[in-house]
Amino acid sequence: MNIKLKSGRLPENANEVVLSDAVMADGASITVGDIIESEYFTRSITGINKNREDTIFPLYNIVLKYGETVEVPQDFPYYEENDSFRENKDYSGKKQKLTVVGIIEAPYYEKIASAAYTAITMLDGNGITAHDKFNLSVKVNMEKYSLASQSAFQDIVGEREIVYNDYVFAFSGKSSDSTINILVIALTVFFVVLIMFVSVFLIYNVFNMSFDERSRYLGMLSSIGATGRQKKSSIYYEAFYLLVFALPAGILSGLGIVKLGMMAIQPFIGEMMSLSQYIEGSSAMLIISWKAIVAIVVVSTITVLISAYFPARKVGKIGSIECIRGNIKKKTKQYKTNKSITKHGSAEKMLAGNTLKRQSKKTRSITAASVTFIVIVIVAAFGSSVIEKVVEKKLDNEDVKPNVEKWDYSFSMADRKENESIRQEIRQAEGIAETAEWYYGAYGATVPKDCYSKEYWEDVHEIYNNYYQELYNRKLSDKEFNEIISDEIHHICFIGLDAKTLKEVAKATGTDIQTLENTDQPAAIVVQEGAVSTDQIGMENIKLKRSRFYDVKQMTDKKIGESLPVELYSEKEDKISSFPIQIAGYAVNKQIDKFISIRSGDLYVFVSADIAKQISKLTQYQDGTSMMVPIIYIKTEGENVEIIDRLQNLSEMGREYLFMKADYTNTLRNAIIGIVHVLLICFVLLTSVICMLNMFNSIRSRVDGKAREFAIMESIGMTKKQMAKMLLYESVGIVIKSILYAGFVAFPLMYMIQYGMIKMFGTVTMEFPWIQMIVAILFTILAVVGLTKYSFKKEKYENIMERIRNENV
Amino acid sequence: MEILRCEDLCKTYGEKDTCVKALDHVSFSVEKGEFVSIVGPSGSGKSTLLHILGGVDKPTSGKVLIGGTDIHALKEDKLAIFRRRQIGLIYQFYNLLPVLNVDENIVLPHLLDGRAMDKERLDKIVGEMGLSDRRNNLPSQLSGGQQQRVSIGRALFNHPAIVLADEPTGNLDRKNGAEIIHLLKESNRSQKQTLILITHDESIALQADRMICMEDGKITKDERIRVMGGDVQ
Repeated sequence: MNIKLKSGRLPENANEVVLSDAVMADGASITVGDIIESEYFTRSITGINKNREDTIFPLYNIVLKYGETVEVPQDFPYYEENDSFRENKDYSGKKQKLTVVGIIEAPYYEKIASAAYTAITMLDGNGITAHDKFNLSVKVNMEKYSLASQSAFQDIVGEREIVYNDYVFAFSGKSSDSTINILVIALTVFFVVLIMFVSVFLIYNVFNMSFDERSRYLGMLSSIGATGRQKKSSIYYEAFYLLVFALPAGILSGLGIVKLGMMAIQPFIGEMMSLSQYIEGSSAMLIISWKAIVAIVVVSTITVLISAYFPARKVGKIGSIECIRGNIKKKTKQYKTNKSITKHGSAEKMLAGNTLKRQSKKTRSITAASVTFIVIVIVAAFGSSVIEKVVEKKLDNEDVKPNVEKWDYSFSMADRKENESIRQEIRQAEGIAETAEWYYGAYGATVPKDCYSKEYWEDVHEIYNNYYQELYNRKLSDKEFNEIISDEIHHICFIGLDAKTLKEVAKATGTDIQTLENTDQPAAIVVQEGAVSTDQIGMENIKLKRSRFYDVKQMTDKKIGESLPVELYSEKEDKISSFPIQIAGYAVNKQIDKFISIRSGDLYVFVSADIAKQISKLTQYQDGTSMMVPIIYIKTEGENVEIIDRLQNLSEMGREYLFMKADYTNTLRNAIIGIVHVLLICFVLLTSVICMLNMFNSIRSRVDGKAREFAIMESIGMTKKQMAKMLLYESVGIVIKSILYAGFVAFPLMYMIQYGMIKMFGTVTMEFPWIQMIVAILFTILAVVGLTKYSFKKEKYENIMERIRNENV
Repeated sequence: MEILRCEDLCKTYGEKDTCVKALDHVSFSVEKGEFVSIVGPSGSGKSTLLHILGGVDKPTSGKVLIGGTDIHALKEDKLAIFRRRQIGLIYQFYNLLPVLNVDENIVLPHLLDGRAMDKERLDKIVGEMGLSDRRNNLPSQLSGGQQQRVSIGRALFNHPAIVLADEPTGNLDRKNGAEIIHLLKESNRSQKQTLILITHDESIALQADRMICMEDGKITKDERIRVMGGDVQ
């Protein structure tokens, strides 16, 4: 119930109650154990002022006349005695003694201005009659729950409504939405495969490195009679002991890290997923299931065995003398001197270049770790953005979304004179930082079919193809499609902007403001981006197995200066008026997302407030309202703003009003995207740490392995500075090589992801993760150069001869 | 003209009970263009002496003056620069850089000095060393004798004031060993190149102008065999 107990306990029967602490905050002195008597009544108000025609409560949609009695809701404020109206209490006669067993924090649904406080008792089954109405919450066992359970539940409750908590089910891929389920499963597979791939690669890297280091030792073993099989076994034993110690350590430290991570993000998880009002305190628990542990053990064992298999096979094949001499694969190729380098006397460049070219094997492990890191960052960022896009497409059912950074709430109302007083009140209310008053008009204006672009119609055709495929197992011919759409009405939607916003939008889109402000010749900015999906366009009640989305980059092919032949319909006059609008400019979301973003299946245009008013006059309904709906965007100065509660109440009461949080569409979307981001960050951090350790290992052992070469270089007169410079050139070479290889790996992977997503969900425009790629490359440069420098500094360079001799022993 | 002088050189390894005196107050000098062989049993300190002379090992006490410069008083980088310009070192195990081909190994000290490659000199040295058909080979693709010739080429390329060879034939067969000594002697004679050579082989030692015998870190005999570049005395 989202309540937080401050003291006492929860009620255990219908005679016990917990009270909101707002009661005590407002001066009452009630403590746990007190008995309170409750009486039940309905509240109403009666107009008592003969001289006053109407007493208006705009936020409660109440217009009270003299002598009239109106029932008021529970959260109607308590007004002191006044000359306008009287408050009545109509007692039901039922009285009950209740024991206060606990005090709770005022829950989020308790309105500030309300005259009542929250008291919660327990509904025990004994007192329920067949006519009683109540909500029943059921907690399911997620391990046993499946989509089949849904129909079983429905059989139990019959025609009663079941509301599923998709917030929870979505994360297990068991929500009522198959697109989200596929996405969650795809996401899980994506991360598991990626982490397995990375692990195999990096563990293989370690085995390979250790093999290179110990080739001489293995050669010695071979020379005293160790068979290939025995040498292979030595690698497998090593892998086995690695598992015996690393697996428990890995599982324990993994759980520890997860627990720490949970503790770290716990305070922010509500905010991160835009669910702060529902999530409080320590709601997330670390559950360890034996199935998960078995899966980890199996997957880790397979991973390590695969990683050990290749080096083991290699070890089994090589001969003893080659190992001892260190020329397992003797090169026969001849290498010409690079004249341009020797001509300019750069020994460092020559050494670095030749090392990279002629000893590429020795830098392979560093390159591999760098490539893995870059690929992981790019692919994970791309994968996450793809998932974000699909979630956005699937869950953002709204065509028009205000910028949630700029606005907190929106309040729309019918275009009536009476509503001007509400607008006035909002503008002047305490705690309101900023407001903007716009007009919205949809579904009362039409344009000919050719106002929509060829691209748009192609995508709509694709949507119909999906349905035809499902229904008739074939695609829809052009002729059939044209017949279908020729009957359709093609809407155009208007957004009338206030003068200030219009100027800014005109500037951002490069549109001439004077053209837009000209009231004699209506002009508009056309929003070029749009989207169509199977969620918007349906056919014969068919529910497709999966939703399909199609981004439209150009909603109209009409040029700037051309006219949109708009027709407006007035219900009041039953008249269609021609209202041509000139295209003054185009807008894309990047230009206007400071205020709003629009991605709709309909053509949207921005017009001035004056033009919006003209349209309003031509699109009047019978009741005097019009297609154009005034909307106020509100930015508050903080929380607990009284007028916000009142606007919400008004919205709940009257259908002419609609009050919404600006980010209301974001809840489930943000919840899923939030989880994806957390997973992604954890995943990238984890793999980065593994890659960095691997890189550090590779660089350290490479620098160690070069100790003799360094000593030789020093003995023939190479200074430390020159060595450091040579290593820097080498590092740069490794990074360049890594970037190229990473490109070869990452691009096909990204293409595969995109291809898969398009196949599954439709044409979703995806952005290349440039920033993440640049960050990954910079980080790799820093890591390779930094770790090489560090390793070089750590080397002990006291005696040249000792280092040369050590290697000869 | 004196090119090298060492004064009271001592080198000890380990401490207290495990203390080993590798060099015990060794002093001698070498004239420019002189060919000196150092002989002695294993562990007599001859390699240690050569490495200290070459600046790749430090004495516990004493001085090494090459062309009047106290090399061990130089800072690390200065000493490295001094080595590449004034000293040519030849090792028993060649110590070539595995990633460089024959040409590059030979020319490396020259390039380290920031100078462009002297093609003529390289061709001459490669020719003299009999490596003309192996110029693009890596050390791992060469025989021991060929590797040692590359090592000599590298030591001689920068016209060093002094060439120090640590058992250059120790790892080679007789024929290859003879060729290597011939090359070193040729360079000593034609270029007036000072040469100090360590060997176990008496016949090689006797080809020098002067022979120094060492035992237990001390010079036990310093004998002139012939006048510089001349006949046996």
